[in-house]
Amino acid sequence: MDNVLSNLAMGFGAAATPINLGLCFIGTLVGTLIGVLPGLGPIATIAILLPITFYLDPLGALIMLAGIYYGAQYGGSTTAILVNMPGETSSVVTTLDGHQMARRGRAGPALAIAALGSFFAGCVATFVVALFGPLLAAFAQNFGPPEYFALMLVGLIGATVLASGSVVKAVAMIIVGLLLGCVGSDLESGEQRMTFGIPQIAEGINFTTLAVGLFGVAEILRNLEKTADRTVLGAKITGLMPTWADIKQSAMPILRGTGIGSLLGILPGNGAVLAPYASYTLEKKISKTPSRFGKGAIEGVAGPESANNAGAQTSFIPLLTLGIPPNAVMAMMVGAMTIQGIVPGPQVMNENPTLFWGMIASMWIGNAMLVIINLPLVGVWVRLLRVPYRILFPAILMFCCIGVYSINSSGVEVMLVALFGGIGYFLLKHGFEPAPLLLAFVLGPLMEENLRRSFLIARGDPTIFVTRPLSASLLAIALVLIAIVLLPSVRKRRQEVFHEED
Amino acid sequence: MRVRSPQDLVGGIALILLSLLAFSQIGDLKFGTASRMGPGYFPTVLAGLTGLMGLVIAGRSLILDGPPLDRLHWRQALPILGAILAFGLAIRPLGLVIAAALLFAIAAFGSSDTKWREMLVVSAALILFAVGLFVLALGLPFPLWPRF
Repeated sequence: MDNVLSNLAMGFGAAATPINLGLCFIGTLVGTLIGVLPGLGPIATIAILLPITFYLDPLGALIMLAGIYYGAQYGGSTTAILVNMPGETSSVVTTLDGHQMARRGRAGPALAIAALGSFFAGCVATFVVALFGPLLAAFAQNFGPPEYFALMLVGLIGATVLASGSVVKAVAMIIVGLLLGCVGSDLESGEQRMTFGIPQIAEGINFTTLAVGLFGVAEILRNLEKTADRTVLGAKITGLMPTWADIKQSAMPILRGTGIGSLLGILPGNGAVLAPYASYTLEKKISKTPSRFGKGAIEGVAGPESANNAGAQTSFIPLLTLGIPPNAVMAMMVGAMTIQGIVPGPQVMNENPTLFWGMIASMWIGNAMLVIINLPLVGVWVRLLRVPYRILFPAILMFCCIGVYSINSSGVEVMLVALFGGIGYFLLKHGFEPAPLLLAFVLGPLMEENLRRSFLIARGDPTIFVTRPLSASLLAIALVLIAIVLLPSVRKRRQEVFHEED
Repeated sequence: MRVRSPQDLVGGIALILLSLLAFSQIGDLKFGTASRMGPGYFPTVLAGLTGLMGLVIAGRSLILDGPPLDRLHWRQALPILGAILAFGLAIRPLGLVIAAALLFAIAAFGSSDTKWREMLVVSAALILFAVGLFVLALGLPFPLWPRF
């Protein structure tokens, strides 16, 4: 414990430099902005800003990008409560009771509880990362290639189980992602694979190009289909302060939501999206008056909002300690670390302690900033919603193009963005989720490398994966996950949960 | 035989085509053995699995009910994708200012409620912003104007 505190102190020292504080502020501000605006998610934003981080130092870059992610969780709730439109998928549940509260003139308390709950969850999650990170990293030191391969398999299967929509299609997306990850020169022999003779992808498809196309451009195409204007609730927000009764009612849901979020964030899949559903269901189930839910119950805001923020933060644990991203946003962080020449994995904590602890400390600082950015300035964000999309999309498009061009000064890569954008649009239109694809694309080369090494150790004997206890247990987890998703009752429940998302 | 889920049928066929495309590119890459995986090992397995998933999803579309095909909005999509292509083609020879202007001019056709005068102002502001942020502040090595 003392160790954790002294490490955290070191982290605060690293994160509290003027430039890092500034980057943290920019990150959380941009995060809030895109969280408020529907149709621009954290994945696309981080993808667009990724090339710029090349010009920052590693810690500053990661602090800013992390701020975008958890900042988006805050901003998403503002739109959910005031406009009944989730700014992010993670705040879909908040629309249920949050907007009802707003319609009853209690938008202020709803916003305040959402922000305070998120802040509390953020503080706890920071400690969870600080406590469990080192433990998990120490554990991961025992991992050999078979364990890493098994772990990534669990991660990918987890991502399908916890993805929305069809499991079969999510599996297909993972395989396509792995296949795209093979493009470029083979690590061992250096031979060109599936490059179509295009020199720009001889070293592999650029991660940013793929992400900007699949998420940034495809999202624009989808948004342009809808011409409907956003209508903002005209009512003035009066009285931000929740009453004492509100706080008493919210205390336990916030605690429970934080717990659920922290747990689901660590698991593969998108914890920040799944946790609010779990929290809402739980609160409704244990409430003495479940009939109030859907009609402006403050518990229905407090729990899920704490859960999504906790989940967003603890999903950094697998990335920072194992080097394995649990979801597509963390896959983007792998991209950011790679740009900086850092190989994510358990060694980061020992070789680069200021990076590890500085980033954790910055999460706490960022959460404190977010309360300030969100509560007093809520009026500014609401006004922003009135900016029509026909003005926003050219700006997003320009950032996409300039961002990708700046990586290698290559016009061909910009043109590849158009290709991936078209593919992303096709996927969206046919019920395929692009997030598992991106995750698998990042993990693909790592998986191939570890599979190759495992087989080399075992002289081609596949039983190596089941005779080593650690990898065997990981594979067992994978099997359990598959079994769970195939259970009829779970399937039905899963459909119900994700149905609301559409 | 009735197609119950047109979305899945099209998606499945696309996966099969992708698998064939991948196989055509893998060509004569060495497959190797399990203990010595060649460069073709992983891609071959994955291309095979992609095709298999395509067959499963296309086959499933004949049995399970699913949503109808969602209309592709080409009138919106083509100008946006075209605008990106134009930017990629123009940025090297013509420089950032003209490439961005082209991007906005073509992309404007993608939105059904474009107001041209407003678009002109927005474009000019964005170009100024981009030059200020990326070239002046961040110092990225962008050509601003055509080079003769």
